[in-house]
Amino acid sequence: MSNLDLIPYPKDMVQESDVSLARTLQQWAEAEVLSKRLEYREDYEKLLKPAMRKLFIDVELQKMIWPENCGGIGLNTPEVARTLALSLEQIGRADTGIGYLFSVTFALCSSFAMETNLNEELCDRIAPLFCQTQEIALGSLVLPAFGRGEHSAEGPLFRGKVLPARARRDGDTWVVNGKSLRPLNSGADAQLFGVFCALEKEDEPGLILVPGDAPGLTRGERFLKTGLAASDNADIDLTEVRVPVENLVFRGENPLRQILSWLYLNSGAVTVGSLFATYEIMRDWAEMRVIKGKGSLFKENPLTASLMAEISHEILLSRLLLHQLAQMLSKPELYRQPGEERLYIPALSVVSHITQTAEKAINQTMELMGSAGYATEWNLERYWRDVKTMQVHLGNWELNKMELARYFFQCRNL
Amino acid sequence: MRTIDHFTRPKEYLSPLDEYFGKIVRQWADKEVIPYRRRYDEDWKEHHLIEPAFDKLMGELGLQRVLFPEDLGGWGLGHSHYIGTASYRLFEEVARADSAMAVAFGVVFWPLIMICNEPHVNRRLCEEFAPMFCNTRKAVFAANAMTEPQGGADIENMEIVQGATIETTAVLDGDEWVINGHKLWPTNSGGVCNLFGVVCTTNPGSRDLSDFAFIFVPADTSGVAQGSPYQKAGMAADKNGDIWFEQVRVPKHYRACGPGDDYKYFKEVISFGNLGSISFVSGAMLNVFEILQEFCGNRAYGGRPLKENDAVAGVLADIVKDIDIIRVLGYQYARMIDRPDLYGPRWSDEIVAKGRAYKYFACDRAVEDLGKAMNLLESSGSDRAWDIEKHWRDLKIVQLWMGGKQLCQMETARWYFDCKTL
Repeated sequence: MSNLDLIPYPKDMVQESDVSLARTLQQWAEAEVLSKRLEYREDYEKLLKPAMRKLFIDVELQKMIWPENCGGIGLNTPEVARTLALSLEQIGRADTGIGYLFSVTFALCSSFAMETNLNEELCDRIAPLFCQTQEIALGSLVLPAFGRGEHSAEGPLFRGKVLPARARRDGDTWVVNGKSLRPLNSGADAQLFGVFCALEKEDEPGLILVPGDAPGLTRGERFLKTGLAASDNADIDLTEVRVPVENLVFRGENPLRQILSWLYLNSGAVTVGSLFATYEIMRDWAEMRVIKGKGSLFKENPLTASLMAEISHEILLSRLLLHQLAQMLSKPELYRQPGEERLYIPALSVVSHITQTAEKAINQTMELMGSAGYATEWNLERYWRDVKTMQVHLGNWELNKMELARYFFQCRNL
Repeated sequence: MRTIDHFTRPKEYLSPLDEYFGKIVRQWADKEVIPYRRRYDEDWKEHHLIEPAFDKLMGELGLQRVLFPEDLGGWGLGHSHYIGTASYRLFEEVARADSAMAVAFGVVFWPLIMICNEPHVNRRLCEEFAPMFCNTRKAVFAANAMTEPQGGADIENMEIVQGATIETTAVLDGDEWVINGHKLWPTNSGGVCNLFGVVCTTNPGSRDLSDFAFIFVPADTSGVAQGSPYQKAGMAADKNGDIWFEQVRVPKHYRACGPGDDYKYFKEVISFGNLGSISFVSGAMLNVFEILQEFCGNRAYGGRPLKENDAVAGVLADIVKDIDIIRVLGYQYARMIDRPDLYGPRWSDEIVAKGRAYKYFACDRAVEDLGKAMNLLESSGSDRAWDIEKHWRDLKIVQLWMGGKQLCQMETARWYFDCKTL
């Protein structure tokens, strides 16, 4: 039975076209990733890049959000949330990293390509990077980061963190500077960066778009990390990078929350897809493994069955939560705009819950599988590394919790 | 500033070798391993970087000799009353740098326990194998070949399966054992092993404990084949692979302790496996403390060091609380190993069960704490440059090996509740 049917989700919230796209992506997953991963493991050139080409260019996913008059598919209304939830589950099932790259790219572009806040001038200028190319096009985000040193003098703070770059106005351009900036993904090969900057002489920070080929942008050494092999990440330096004034997409906190809300939905969907893969691996294992001597099938043992039940319980609830969040994002008239706290807070809660639940569920699955749990041959450990890597990129949970406390308890000094 | 030496150890229990072992191994770790370990993952197959560090530790510092009697070139740990606490310190210091190196080093002693430890010293085999380990400055590896394809480490569920599932056979033919079978996953396989201890049956399907046999097989014996190492989530310094034994002939006296006693003393091997696992956890977690101290002391949030944020400090407290408890627990178990006169034989069901319980407690706490530590570091938590993710991957493997958590739970419940069918 397909995972689209086995694990329930609220079907009345999606359209037939969403299901159809999900089935296409399920086929892509089988043909381009799952059937080849034993041979190629996490090889970027042999597995991940060709799979991304198929997905982003042949299936045209990188055109998804762009308006039709810019060469895109025009899925840029809030209803796309439900499409994203169902689609990214299938991509995450194949490869968490590929799903994550799409998630960040979509979230960045949502800040100016969504119908609710459409910036036609920017779309006209940026869309060709994604719609008129036969190359994979990726977006990335540089968000506020921890300061370095006890008495950090690195720049203004935003919600306790240091704004990573500074921008000053010079005629019709913004001049952006920043050293050793750590993007969420793809620092080595992204075509577009959204950099959250301190704006000189202004009270509020803003997000400035910096094309990957902008003079003054240099990329550092690729660095090694736990997971998300599809993301070729490196720090970037911005030295007197000049971009048009229109590249300042927004000022202030609400638009940043909007980007993050979409990122949280997408990351949650990718994580649920990784849980589908976990379930499938566990099911294969439980069907063939014998314990306590011949005739004792693993899945028939009450202790292991109990744990398998817990894992499936977590998957079931995570999927329901995810689709409820998608429903909320798709109906701003009922649930507010994604930049408003009223919707941002549930988005943060849901993605945190799903990623933490996934960490626990995959950990438990590994425990059940013993050494097969950490052997690359069984593929489970890869989802474990990928999901954890994605989770830590969503931020320090102790500090994210302060957002919830501020909202629910009106804390003023946190 | 606090250091890793501020974590508690029961000082009354420490071995006479404790200070010396601690000093030389910490120097070795800081100089030979920690500066290079971030490149170990890519060295998993060849061990170009890893092998020289092993040679230094095991060959040049001579630590692969410690179990053998002094008159054979060893340090006499096998007949001492501090084998548990001394080993714990050794492994903990190695694991602070790299828990895969700790297990590869520790497992050298695993099969040798069967012949070097009182009261079951096999003097003839000690004399035969001591030169292999004592007369060289190169690292020499031993391995315990027990896991088999179908049931995996279920073979360690000894109270229930009682050797009945072992498919590797040993048949006596004159003065030689003829061994046939296929083993998987032993630490120090994958091409590096010099001496195997092989778990066999002399009568397939039998539950007669005298049919359980532990037989030594030098890796260069005709008919032994080692496969390439497996690729794993971590622990690059520990090679694991398939081993095939096809009509392998070894002398009759290579059986470690004999009918009945092989089974009995093999349970001591399990106790040492649990002791080692706990020491790997506490060693790696001591290094996690060092990393957290650096990161949370130097990275700022709200203009103050991260460690000064009350919510973050709460998590840091949870982590160091666990490290302290795991370490005390580990040394307590080491003491129980050292003093069978007080706590009962190392091979008793009680010592095995308590070792399983402590091991899975330590691993569970460490895996959860490492997940939290990675989260505190945000994206740096998954960055190879901070080493936290390495310990996270490695300690997960410690949690899963030797039958994993469920076997630990069953052995614990069986002993405390006198379960008959688990």
